[in-house]
Amino acid sequence: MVVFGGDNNRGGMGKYVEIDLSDEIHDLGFTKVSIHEKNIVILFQGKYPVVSTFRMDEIERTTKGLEKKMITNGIASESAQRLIYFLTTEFLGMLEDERKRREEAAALSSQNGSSREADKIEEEINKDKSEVGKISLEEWEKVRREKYVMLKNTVDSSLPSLWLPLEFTLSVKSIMNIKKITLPFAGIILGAPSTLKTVSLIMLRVWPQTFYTDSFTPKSIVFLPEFSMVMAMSAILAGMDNEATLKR
Amino acid sequence: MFTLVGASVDIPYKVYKLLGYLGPKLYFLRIPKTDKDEDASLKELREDFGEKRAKVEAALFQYLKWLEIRPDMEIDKGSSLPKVEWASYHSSSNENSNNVKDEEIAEKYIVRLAKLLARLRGVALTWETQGSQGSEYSYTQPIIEDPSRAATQLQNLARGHALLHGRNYITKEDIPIVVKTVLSTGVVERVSIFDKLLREEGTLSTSDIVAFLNVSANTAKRTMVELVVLGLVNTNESNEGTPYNEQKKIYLKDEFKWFTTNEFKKLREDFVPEDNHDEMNRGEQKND
Repeated sequence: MVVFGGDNNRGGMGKYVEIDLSDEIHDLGFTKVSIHEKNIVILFQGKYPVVSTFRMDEIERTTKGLEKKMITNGIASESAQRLIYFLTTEFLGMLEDERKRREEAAALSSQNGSSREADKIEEEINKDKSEVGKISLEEWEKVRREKYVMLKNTVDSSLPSLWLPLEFTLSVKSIMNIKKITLPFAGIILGAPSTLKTVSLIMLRVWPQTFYTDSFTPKSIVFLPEFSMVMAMSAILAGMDNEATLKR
Repeated sequence: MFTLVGASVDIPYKVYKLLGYLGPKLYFLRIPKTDKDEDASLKELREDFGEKRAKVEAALFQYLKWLEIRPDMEIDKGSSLPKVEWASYHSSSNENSNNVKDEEIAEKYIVRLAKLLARLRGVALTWETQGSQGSEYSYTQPIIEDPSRAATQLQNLARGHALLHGRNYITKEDIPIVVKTVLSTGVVERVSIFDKLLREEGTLSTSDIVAFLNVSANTAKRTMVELVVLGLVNTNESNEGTPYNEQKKIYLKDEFKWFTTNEFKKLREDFVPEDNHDEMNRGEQKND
């Protein structure tokens, strides 16, 4: 029903928007409610149009001002109040839609950002590969050991309690690098708050071919009916213990 | 094909029970709480977490990038991921085979751990059948998974761990992460009784469980029946106690006796899975 504009409308709508009125509101005599940039216009049978300031970020001030102007223009107080009640509900719905839209946009932007970083990592891997050239497994292993010691020492000196969740996460990730394994593996790290259980996951969010999300809702379960494992995981991460949700 | 890792404080009991009925299974890792002394806490307070994380991330990415340029890795056409052939997949006739393969003892440990896991996360329903004192319990046929799929999953986890350490074959070094996963995936209370059984060399009486879990004798007996039904222990009536203070004993089955050995103790690396249900419930109450 409504289309929000960009982010620079400073509380206004930025576009022309017409609000669908309910039968009850029509029966009261209201014929049209529309928003033009920062103005809200009310048409009422036999009366002059009521024009009032509209600010989406100040609903209370908007509705109070509008109610006052409607009564001044001769619209019955009870009718004005019923329209205000109707519009407040509509505005709150619009705000909720806008919040969701922003969240989705932020998630998409974050995903695009991760994707750019993943591309960069892939480029770096290819560059390293060409620089290193052909080396034997033994030579590769020698460097791997050095890099492993460096990683372990860094974790031990900086975030020692990270090692266990990190080792688990990387082991699960490495399964993907083994030929002929086709069985999906789903692991969940359980830990009291502040035990660094999510740090290893967040670190890997930019790694190529990795999808990261911290937004779990019942919707994510509905969209993945074929993966009961994913469903169960989503349910746990969404903090749901509803039997129906899991059986869906 | 995909792998997933998630993080949460704990799992509600109801959800855990439902997981028992699902085909594909989830695997958990319960992180132990660290009890830092004052000096360690002070050091932590003075350091910048963001900087420390950045340092770890840099070292991690350096390591992961190197793993991906392993000389025998090939880009898989289907997934575009670099993949390595597992050593044990080489047939004996393959001239390129270097005859290195998964250590048999490590594979045996995985099989034992999968069998234990099937019991530790099986579903067993028990209920009182005799009067209000509830001295007897009945039960339904338990749901115990065939451990073969769990064995494959645990083997895959061990393989992932091995690859992380530059190997395309499993050794005993890859078993501790599997042990920790199995002990974290079983029902946490059940694992804690299992641990008590290991400490008591495989035998527990009703009064041991009463004291250990701080529960009534009837609850302890019900727990014992559950473990019997799941096939983890045997039981027989003890001669100890009076008819009013009946004592039962449970004995770890022979097939699980390996878990009482020093070998297993070494492999678990003192790991004790943490029960975070209290933290989870506190969080839920705060949100209410």
